[in-house]
Amino acid sequence: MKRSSLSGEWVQIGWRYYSGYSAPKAYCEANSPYGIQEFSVTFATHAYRIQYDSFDKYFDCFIDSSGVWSYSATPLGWTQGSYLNGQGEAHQNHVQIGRMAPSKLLFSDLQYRNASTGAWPLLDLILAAPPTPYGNDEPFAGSLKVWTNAH
Amino acid sequence: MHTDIRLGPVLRGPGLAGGILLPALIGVAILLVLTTVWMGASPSDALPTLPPEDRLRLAQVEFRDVAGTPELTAQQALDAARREYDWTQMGSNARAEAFFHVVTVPALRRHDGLFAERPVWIVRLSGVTTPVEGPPGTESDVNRSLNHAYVFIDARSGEFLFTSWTP
Repeated sequence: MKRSSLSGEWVQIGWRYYSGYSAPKAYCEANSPYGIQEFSVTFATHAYRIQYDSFDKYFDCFIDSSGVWSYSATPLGWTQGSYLNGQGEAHQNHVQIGRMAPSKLLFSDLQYRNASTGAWPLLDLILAAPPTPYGNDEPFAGSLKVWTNAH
Repeated sequence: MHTDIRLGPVLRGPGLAGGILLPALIGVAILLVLTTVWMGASPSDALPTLPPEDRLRLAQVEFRDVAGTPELTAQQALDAARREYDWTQMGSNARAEAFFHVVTVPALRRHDGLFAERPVWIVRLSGVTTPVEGPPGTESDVNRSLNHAYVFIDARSGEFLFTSWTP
């Protein structure tokens, strides 16, 4: 999440997995000052959430209903943003999601918090065409499917 | 002003009893002092601690200057960390070392009891690399990488708590 498409500061949450990891790890990350923390998650469906807490001016990072980390909003310089990015990616050319290529990764129930009402409506995605070998799709409202054909 | 120092009968004379007892009492006194110093020392004093440059990388962690005792050995902490990350697959020069501290995370005190002050083993992974993966269009797209991982293991339960990666 960023203040705008142009702003440099951001916070984000998700999961990642690299060679040597015993299992995918959930992560919370912010870039000012830069920090990334990883946490255990089970092999199940999880809700990942970043939410600004106006009471103490921190961005709180939640996995399901558990707060696991917090980042001070002061150095980030913003408290609400208009730019959210749903992203699934593979960093190397010969990496794929799953065991069959192409195997698609689905994010569902992508929501954002309306700062005026406090409601969490579904995110209406604007898909950007990724370069080869990546692909993406929005199979239904508030969802994002991404994949790579590389393997 | 005259001060009259009176010696007890045992210490006064150079007799046989005094000659034996005086050195013995001095010895006992030295032993008592040494015992007191030893008992007052922290059990964790001899345990390895993170160098200052590593602590600077963990800005969100508060290192508490209090005594603590791990129930896990350093090797058990390394084993616990390796159940999360097999560093032998994360770089040809990857290595791991364990350091003992009592820490808290101030930003997390707000979450009731989520991260109370506790003794931890911090397993530092060196020679490992993962990329920074921020949103597109930000400085994170610049080819940066994270080369230090600090795996926090509860020194009492052996539970994996979290990992902080830093450049």
